[in-house]
Amino acid sequence: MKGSPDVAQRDVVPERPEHVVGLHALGTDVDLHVTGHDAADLAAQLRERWHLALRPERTPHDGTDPVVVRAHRLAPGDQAPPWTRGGGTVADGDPRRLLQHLTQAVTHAVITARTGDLLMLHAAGLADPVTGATAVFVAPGNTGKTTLCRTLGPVRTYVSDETVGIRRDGGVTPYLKPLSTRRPDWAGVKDEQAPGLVGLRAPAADPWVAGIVVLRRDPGHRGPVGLERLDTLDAVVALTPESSGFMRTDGPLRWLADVLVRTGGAVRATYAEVEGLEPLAAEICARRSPW
Amino acid sequence: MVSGPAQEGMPSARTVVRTVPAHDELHRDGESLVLLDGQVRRVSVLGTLVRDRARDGLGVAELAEVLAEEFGPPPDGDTLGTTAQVVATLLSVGLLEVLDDLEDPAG
Repeated sequence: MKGSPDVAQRDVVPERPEHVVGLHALGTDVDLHVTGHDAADLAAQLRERWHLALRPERTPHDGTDPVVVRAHRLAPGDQAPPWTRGGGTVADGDPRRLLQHLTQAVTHAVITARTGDLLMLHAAGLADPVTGATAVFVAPGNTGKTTLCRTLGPVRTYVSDETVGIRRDGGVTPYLKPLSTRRPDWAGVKDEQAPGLVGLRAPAADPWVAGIVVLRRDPGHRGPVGLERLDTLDAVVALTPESSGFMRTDGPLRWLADVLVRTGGAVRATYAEVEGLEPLAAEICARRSPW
Repeated sequence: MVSGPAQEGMPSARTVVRTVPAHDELHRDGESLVLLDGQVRRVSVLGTLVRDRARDGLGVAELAEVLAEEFGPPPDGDTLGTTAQVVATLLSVGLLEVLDDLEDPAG
C-alpha cells in the first residue's frame, strides 16, 4: 500500500500534537491537533479564525472524546500528502489553502458526528439577538450564504454560513465557523475570515427555527425580491438536496415537514443583491416561537 | 373495465407487484414523497394509492379495481391500461417490485 494517503500522512504528520485548539462546533467537541512548520503561528491563526467556536477548556463538555482533526503545516520543500475531505488530516504548505481545507475537514467531521441527531441543512442562519428567532436561508455552496451573513448579520447574531443543525425540539445548534469567502485574486482558494472582523457575534439567546427561505440568486433579477410560497411537498423536494445525513436520520421527510408546517412553510426568494433580503430576514426574526 | 393485451415492457393484468419499503414517506392530499436509496421522489395520487395497497403484494388487475373504485374510470375508459402504466412507472424507479409475473391465459 506504499503511496496510499494513510501511509503518506503517517510519514509526514507526527502523531503527537504540538498545539491543541479546542472547538465546540455544531454541538460537537473538536480538537484541532496542530503540528509542523511554525505550528504555534498556525494554532494562533486557527484560534483567531475560529474565535466564536473556541472551547474554553480542554475538558470536553459531555464527557465524550472530542473528534480530532489534524492540521499540519508543511515546511518549504516538504511534499504534501493527497488531501481528502474526510481524511481527518490536513497537511499543506500554503497557509490559506490549509485553513480552507481545515474548515472543510471540521465541517465534514462535525456533520458526520451529528448525523442522525440533527436535521442539517446547507444554509446560512441569522438569529434575533434577544429572542433567538432564526431565519434559515438554504442555498447550495458558492451562491451567497456568506455574503448574506456579512451583509445582514451584524444587526443580528450569527448561527452559521454553512450548515444549520435543527434539533427535534426546534432548537438550532450553531456552527460558528470562520466565514469562507471566495477571493478574486485566489482562484479556487477561499479566505477564512474571523466572523468578528465583520461584526458578527455568537447567539446570545438559544436559537430556534422561525422560518426557512430557499434562496435563488439571479443576477438579472430586477425589482423587489420575488417571493414564492412553496407547499409542503414542493418545499421538502427543494430542501432535501441541500441536506446532510438524510438517509441516516429517522423519519427525515416527516421531520422536515413538521418544521415547515410549524414555521408557516418555506418561501423561495429570487434576488439579485442580498440587501434586498433584509425585510424578509427582519420579518422572520420578529416571529414568535411555534415550538 | 377494459382489458387489452400487455404492451412490451408493461406489466400484465396478472403481474403481482409489491411496494418496496422506503426509508421515509410523507403524505399530503393523496400525493406522497418517498425517500429511497438517497433519492426523494414525488408520487402521484394514483401511484400513492397503488403503493399503499400493494404493501403485501397485489396483482395489477386487483390494483385496477382499487383505482376504479376510488377514482372512477379514467377518461379513456382503460382502467387496466392506466393502472399498468402507473405500475410500470413505479417499477421503473424502484418504488415497486415484481413478486410474480404470471402468464396471461388469454395470451
